[in-house]
Amino acid sequence: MIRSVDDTAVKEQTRRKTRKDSLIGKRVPKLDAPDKATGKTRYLDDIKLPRMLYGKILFADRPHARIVKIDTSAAKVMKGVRAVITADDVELVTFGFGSDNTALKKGKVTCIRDEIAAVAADTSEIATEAIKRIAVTYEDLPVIGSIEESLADGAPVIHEHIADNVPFRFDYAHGDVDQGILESDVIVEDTYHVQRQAHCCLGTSGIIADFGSDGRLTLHSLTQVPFSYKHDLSKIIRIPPERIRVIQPPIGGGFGSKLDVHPFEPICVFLARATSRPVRMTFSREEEFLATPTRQPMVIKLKSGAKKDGTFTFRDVLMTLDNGGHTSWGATTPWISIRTFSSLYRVPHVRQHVDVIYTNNIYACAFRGYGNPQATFALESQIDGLADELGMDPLDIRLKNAQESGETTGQGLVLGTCGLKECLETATRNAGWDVKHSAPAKHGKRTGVVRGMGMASIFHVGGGAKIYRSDGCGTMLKMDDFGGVVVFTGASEIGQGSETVIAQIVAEELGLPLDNIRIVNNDTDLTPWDVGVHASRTTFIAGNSALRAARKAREKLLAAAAEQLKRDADDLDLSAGNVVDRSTCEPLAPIPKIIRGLHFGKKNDLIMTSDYYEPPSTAPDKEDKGDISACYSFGTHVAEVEVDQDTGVVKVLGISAAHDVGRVINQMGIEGQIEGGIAQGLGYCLTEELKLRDGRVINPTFTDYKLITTQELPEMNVAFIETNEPAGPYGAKGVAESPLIAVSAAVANAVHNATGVRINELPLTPERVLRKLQEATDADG
Amino acid sequence: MSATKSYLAPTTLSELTRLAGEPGVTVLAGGTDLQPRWSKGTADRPEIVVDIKGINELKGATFANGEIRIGACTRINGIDVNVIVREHAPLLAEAAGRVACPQIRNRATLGGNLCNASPAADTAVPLIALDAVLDIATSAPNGTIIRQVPVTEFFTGPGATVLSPGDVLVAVRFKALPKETFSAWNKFGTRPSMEIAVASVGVVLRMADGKVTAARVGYGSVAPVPLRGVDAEAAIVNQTLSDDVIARCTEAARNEISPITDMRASERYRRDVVAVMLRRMLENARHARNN
Ligand SMILES: Cc1cc2nc3c(=O)[nH]c(=O)nc-3n(C[C@H](O)[C@H](O)[C@H](O)COP(=O)(O)OP(=O)(O)OC[C@H]3O[C@@H](n4cnc5c(N)ncnc54)[C@H](O)[C@@H]3O)c2cc1C
Repeated sequence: MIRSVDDTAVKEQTRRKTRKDSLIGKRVPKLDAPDKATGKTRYLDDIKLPRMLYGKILFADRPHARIVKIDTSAAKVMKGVRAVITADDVELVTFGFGSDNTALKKGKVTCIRDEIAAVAADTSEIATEAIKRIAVTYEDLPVIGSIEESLADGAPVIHEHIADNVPFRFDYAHGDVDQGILESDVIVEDTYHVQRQAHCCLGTSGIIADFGSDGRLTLHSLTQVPFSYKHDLSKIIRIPPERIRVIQPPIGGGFGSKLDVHPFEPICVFLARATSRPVRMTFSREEEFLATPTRQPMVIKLKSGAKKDGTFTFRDVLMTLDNGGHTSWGATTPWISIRTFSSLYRVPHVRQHVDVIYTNNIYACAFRGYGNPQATFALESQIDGLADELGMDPLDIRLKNAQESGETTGQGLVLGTCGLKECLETATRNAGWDVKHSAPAKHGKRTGVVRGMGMASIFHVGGGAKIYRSDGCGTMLKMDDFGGVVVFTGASEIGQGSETVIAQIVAEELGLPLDNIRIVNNDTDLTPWDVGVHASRTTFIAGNSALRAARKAREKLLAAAAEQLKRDADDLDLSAGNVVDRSTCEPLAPIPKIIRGLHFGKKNDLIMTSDYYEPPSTAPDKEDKGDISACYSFGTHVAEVEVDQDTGVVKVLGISAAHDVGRVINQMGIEGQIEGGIAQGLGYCLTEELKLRDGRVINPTFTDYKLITTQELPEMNVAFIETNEPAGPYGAKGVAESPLIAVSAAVANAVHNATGVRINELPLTPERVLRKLQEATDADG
Repeated sequence: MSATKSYLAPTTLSELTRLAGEPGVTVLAGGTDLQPRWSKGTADRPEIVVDIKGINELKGATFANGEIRIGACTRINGIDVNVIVREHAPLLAEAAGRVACPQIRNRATLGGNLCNASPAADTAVPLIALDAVLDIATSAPNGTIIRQVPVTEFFTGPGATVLSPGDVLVAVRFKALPKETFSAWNKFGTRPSMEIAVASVGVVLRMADGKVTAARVGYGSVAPVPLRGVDAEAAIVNQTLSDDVIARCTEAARNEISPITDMRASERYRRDVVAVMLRRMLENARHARNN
């Protein structure tokens, strides 16, 4: 399939690229940065509505138990307590991707974070104390703390309607794996274990629910998907969506954690309804660790092969996922992992089976990369294993199998623009691969400090992902008579810098300074529909929508100018706030003057435009095939490490990254995005793990849940490969999730290069690394 | 719900000892151990808080007659760069500079680190290796009495010390290390910075004619209290630091510590890294001798 490329769009692009005052590709500070840096930003915690109460939830703190009795009487009589509710006080509606969750729990609890009761009180201190006075009698049930326990014969059933504890299974295949095995000269097989990672958003979860006297509900919510949120929530709270308004205060990070409706949100609505007062609920850091979902731990059995010349032959994948006690959208993260196994490098035969397993652990949800970091760790580690078997350089085997622009993968993904080879070549060149990566170490006694280098690549959607009926985004744009522009976009800002990019695009099209553009993106009463911030889609999809709305405004403005100035519209352009002569760039009239001419002249018209952009992608078919995204982004990371073989400490000295981003729109924003992603990826790789024992979280604090700090950050060299994606705004692709995805595999491959030992478990903590090195030494004899 | 009824801020030591003996009093220094517990509810807020940050007698480092004295309420930020400490007890400066992060160090005090009595307290280990003595004050009818307790006898268990209600730590004292002394301290965790030690080691060695003439070894996070390494010391005193001697010393260290397995590390790993840190320090000492 060849995408139709709009000829005028290409001409337009070249024209803008050559223009001196173009904003595209420049370093533009984020629009919200001054407020954040000076402490002016008003986060959810700073919002205090008149007569507002404070909500607090009692969590079960039992991983698996029957609820025998809940006694709220002592809490109810406390001074300052305005409402105490349990499942008995509200109409319970099941929700969640597996329809296995309710806001408050009745009958039984299936993980420690299950919500038992909630209080609204005059102060948060009173609410906290009241929660302590609620007495619950439980009858404990056997706890399933792991995938193995859940699948064991005679394991207790966690949810009655799923007798085998496997709520979801996914299968995918292209080609014929048996044939692939026959075609292979080498085959490698391994099992990979990846851990539970917490999002650790700087801002913890929270919400304010506020009913008007007309019964309309206003939510100050941190959701990253406001429109589907309204839809989903309305069913749980039995309020028609058109009577719900979602306002998003500045969000202190999302990373996928705000993709679902969480039980605390309807609970807060119930409390507001019970008290007829606004109620605010915000999580403490400990609650955030205990009662928000995480990245799903997985066990990945992977077998793959190659021919003598390095050509990949097949991949056979068996993936099990620890879902926890309830199901969120996170259960669908294997969909993205399937795309990595099917389409990262050319491979003719692929088969994947996924089991999503119930346990009594806290449940999992979406997290930046959406199943891809797990898949890429396994796959890219094993590609190095194949290279080892073949005695090939890891770079050569990857180049051998890297796709070119225009190829279609076995899963039907059309790689219109593909910069994978350039990414591989650029990242390794910048890292000094030829000099620093020597043949894998063969060690006897492993001691002392050694260095090594490893690489891994990234394949991810770059033009949205068509999972809903629409993967679109709406924009409305209005220009006032002073040249001020307000852009109403459906796309939420969660810190990623999308509002800056959208403002840049609109300013670029309308020839106005950035200061003239205001973005409204946080109020469903004002903004048009969008599917949400996820799948690295906002710059691509909301950017395209804003671009098209701005082009409509531009046309109207130029037509008005042509009429007022008695010129041909084709001879006019917009630049630096003026209508200019297209060929000489000579200013002819200030833009506001033309707009006023339109308002007050004969036409009496406004410049207000709208656009709904639906990307040219297709929803997957029954076999899970089809071109799910309008384009795909690629990248390669090369890590240089130092391993202390006596203590197991892995120090990452440098990451050289190259990303096919289509086209850079905000140089500063994209650098931040990539560097932040690398930092988050390093945490996933080296230190981060939310540890559970028998369903209980044992490290719910930043003292013991270890993020990477600035001190551990390596030198980062980030290169951008500009493939100019025809479908993207000015050629841009999405890149938000990519930088996190390949870090672990690149580092693990570097550790192998340094020590000769391959570690297939994350995180690479000093203790785990030392143990693996000792085991390898013991095995060597 | 507990609430603090009064907050008192004495400015002299005698005022402090008088107040500290009252029932319901908690002494507050930097608050970096206390405040998180109060906020999280893992400790009740005391009825009376006595803040000691206004007492000048408890602050600062001085050097006289070959002895260094550091007031209990001296901020840890500053000890790391203090010229006296750097010159005469560099291992303490090193440890102070690796407590938490600059923000915490800016509030945290040396006395608080010791009185909190965590087995992981970073400054306790170098003070063990320095043979430090603690001055403890108590109110008496005719003023304040001060008694001395060696740091090795100060800790009695996790979070427990010899301090009785009303006792206040006034200062830490130790002899300046002679010029030629070798000393080292290091701690180990899952990540290099901003880390509660999984294990820490401090060493002070005096050497003559290629032999160790005196040794002090301390360990952190590998026993219920910060521990002195008596057996490790014995393994090297009067010995030249040959590979064999070093191996015997690290073996002794492995055996005399009693680490636990917890979420931060396993018992075995703690023994491993104590042995590695100690071996590297002794190798450095040997190397320093040879140059
Ligand atoms: C984020 C974080 C990271 C940390 N990292 C480290 C680390 O890496 N290494 C480390 O060792 N510690 C660490 N700590 C612990 C803490 O910062 C130190 O123990 C600090 O030195 C405590 O000093 P303070 O003055 O804040 O003590 P406070 O909290 O004021 O007091 C601690 C205890 O000592 C008592 N006390 C204080 N002074 C006296 C006195 N003069 N006489 C009698 N009793 C007294 C108090 O009553 C209280 O019981 C960390 C703490 C936090 C919050």
